[in-house]
Amino acid sequence: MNTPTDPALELDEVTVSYGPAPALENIGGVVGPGEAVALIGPNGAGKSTLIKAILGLVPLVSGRITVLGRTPAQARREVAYVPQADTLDPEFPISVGQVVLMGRYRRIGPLRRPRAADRRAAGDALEQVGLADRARHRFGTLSGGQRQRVLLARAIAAEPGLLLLDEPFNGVDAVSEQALLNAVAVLKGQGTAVVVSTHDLALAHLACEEVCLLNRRQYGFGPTRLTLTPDRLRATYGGHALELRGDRVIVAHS
Amino acid sequence: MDQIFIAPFAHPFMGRALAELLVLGALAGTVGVLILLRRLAFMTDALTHTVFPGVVIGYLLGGEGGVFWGALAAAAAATAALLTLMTRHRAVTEDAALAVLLTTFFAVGVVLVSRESGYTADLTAFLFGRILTVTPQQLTETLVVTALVVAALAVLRRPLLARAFDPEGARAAGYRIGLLDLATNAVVALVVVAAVRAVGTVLVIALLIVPAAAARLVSDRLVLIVPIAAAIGALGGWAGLAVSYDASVHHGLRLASGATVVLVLVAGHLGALAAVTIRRRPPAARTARSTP
Amino acid sequence: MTAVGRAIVEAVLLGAVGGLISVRVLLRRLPFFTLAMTHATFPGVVLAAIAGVNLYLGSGVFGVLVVLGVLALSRRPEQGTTTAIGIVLSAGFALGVILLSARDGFAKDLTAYTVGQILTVGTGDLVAVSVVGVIVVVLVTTAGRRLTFRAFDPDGHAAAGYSPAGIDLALLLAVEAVIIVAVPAVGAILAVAVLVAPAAIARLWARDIPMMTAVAVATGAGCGLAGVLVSARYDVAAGGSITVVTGGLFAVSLAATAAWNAVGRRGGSRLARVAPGSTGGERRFRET
Ligand SMILES: Nc1ncnc2c1ncn2[C@@H]1O[C@H](COP(=O)(O)OP(=O)(O)O)[C@@H](O)[C@H]1O
Ligand SMILES: [Mg+2]
Repeated sequence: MNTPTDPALELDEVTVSYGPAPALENIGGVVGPGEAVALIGPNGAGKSTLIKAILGLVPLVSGRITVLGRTPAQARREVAYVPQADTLDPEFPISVGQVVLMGRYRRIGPLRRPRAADRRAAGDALEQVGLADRARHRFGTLSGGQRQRVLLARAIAAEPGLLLLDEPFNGVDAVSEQALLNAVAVLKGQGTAVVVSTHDLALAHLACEEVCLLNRRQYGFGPTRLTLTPDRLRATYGGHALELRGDRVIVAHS
Repeated sequence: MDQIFIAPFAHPFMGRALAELLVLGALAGTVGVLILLRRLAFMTDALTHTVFPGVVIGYLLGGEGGVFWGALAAAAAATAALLTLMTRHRAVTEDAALAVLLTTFFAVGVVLVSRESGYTADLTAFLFGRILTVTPQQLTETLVVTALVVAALAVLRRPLLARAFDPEGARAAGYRIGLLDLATNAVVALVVVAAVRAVGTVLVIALLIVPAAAARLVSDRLVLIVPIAAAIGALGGWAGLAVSYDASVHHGLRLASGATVVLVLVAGHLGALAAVTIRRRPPAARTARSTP
Repeated sequence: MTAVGRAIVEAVLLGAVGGLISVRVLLRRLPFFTLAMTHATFPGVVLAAIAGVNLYLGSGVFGVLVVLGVLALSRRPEQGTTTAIGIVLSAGFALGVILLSARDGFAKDLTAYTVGQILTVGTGDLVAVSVVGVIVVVLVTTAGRRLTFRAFDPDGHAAAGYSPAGIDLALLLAVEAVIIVAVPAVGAILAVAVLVAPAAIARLWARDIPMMTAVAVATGAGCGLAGVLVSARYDVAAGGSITVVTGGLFAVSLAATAAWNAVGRRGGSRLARVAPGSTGGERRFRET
């Protein structure tokens, strides 16, 4: 079984396709416990597809994915996934506290009531994202950034070995971004591996030791400082004019 | 009040009708919350119509006692057909598939029943139900179905909630969405089958949609919405039955009881809507809050 | 003309008109709304019969009220349009039933209104279908492109400076008009088959809207004809047989196109690309 020194995630020549042409080809890399990797690439590059493959929700054409020493489907209970908050129904009659408690559902099982430990885990998770005072509010009454934090709290409450975030910083205010980053840092400190897809290079520098440059193929996978070079970024983003200002990519579509 | 709401139920047949409606109202109100959360009103309406050929075939083959099993078989077949139809073909949208299924199944029932001589009466019974002739055996069947459905909902409540709130996240957490949806359809189909004979299609769809919608207006906490919906369903059944009895017996105005219950429920919903709208003024605040 | 002759003309005309409007109902995702309108038009028919006024007038006025009712209820965000439609649907139908139940000969009338009596249509009914047919043809030929734009990309349509309310109202009123002429023939519950199924069948075979429209009109008319013949031959309710024929054709089309697509996929991408209706229009637009 998995020991703390084993990698949390291994990608080995991963190829995925929805139709005749592959959406991802020969992706490979290793993420250790407590490490974070940023998936960087333009829209349609296959970032979401890779995350779904790690969850075992799309089949592989070839290659292998190992999560915490097991297949993705077997490891799912120890993997947490944070969807984008704006895909959820804001009118759904559910409180913030209940959403976070959902992270414990797989542990609670169908018949048992949530134990004190479950409630404490949920409460702590909400605390970590700075929303402890909102537990009784309806989910939909929060701002977009706050909703994203609640979904992260749900993932934290699940105490995962691997955390997957799909563009969690889109349309999120600065306060929420900081809260999200802090929470991710705490999780990494506890040994959780993190995969986050993003457009934000500053974020990759701040929070991730590794980056994976993707655009159907892999344009680089390795330590952030060595991999995030202007040349490689230009290659990843194709022939489009690309400018690196500060730490942000600015892509001008032709 | 006593004269209208208590006295009529001293008659055994009225007592049984009341018991059936109270149970069905509470059951349908509860299941209705699931339908509301999943936005399945259209599928529910389709199911109420697709059991019709089952009712007819069950009746033709087995008399009164065959109705339940015939309807159950048709509802199960319809559910399975619905699911496969919708998931297989990319050029078929869910609403179109439901509309075609609903009308085709219903039409099969109409064609079958129109070969019989007393056909108008049968069709009427299906549309309205025969709440006043509920037998003790029917009441037992309703209670059995209620127990089954309540048990299923109790066991599955967390996965069902997770799936309704966030399908992608639930899938990622390892829940089998396909199985959960099948369970949802089966629960709705069971309630429809149990109710349709007593109260008719028109009332079934109303019982499954209106109480939950009214409860959602009054509260946005699920722990309150479920009991409120169950209570509204049961009380609406009681009041509607009492009013239709009173109108027929004391005022010479024959009102179909099932339809009266529907109108009582809808009136209750409109009342809740008005109350909530007045309390929540000014509306400008709401719009401001809902913009991201 | 004999009763059967009139019934055939009515069924074919109604099928063609229904097929034409059904394409718009499907593209605009209105099947459930149409179902609610058919159910809620029903008390209008009953009221008109009781009051002794023209059936078409009574149900027309009522239908407009229904449209407004759904639009008003669905403005509350936590209700959702489907719930609002469900409420209006059951309320409307219950109202019709109550009104009928207070009268004598109730079971027979109810049957006539819910599943129709195409064998009793008169020349006036044929004229009514024809008039509605002309209205629908005019709408589709003059506003077809705007209807498509509005259905495919509501925000883009509004951004282009069009008023969504105007085109929506025109479409809903046309749908209601077809419902009103369909109810005497096929009944309130089965009318929705006439207004949805032909386009659902056509969508399986056709790749663009003009072809879909042509297939839907032909399908509607053909099923109307076949349904009345089956009904006359086997002595079953005509509304039922028309709908069963249509539903059967849908099932056959579904199986045939699914098989065709499966063959296409196995035979490689070139074949798959020409498989009829295999790619939804929206998808293709999004990918380009
Ligand atoms: N369910 C699907 N079916 C077919 N193609 C898909 C599906 N999901 C994604 N794709 C295609 O796969 C490619 C990668 O998409 P995605 O992983 O969503 O990219 P990203 O998240 O990087 O923007 C895109 O070309 C997209 O059109
Ligand atoms: Mg993506």
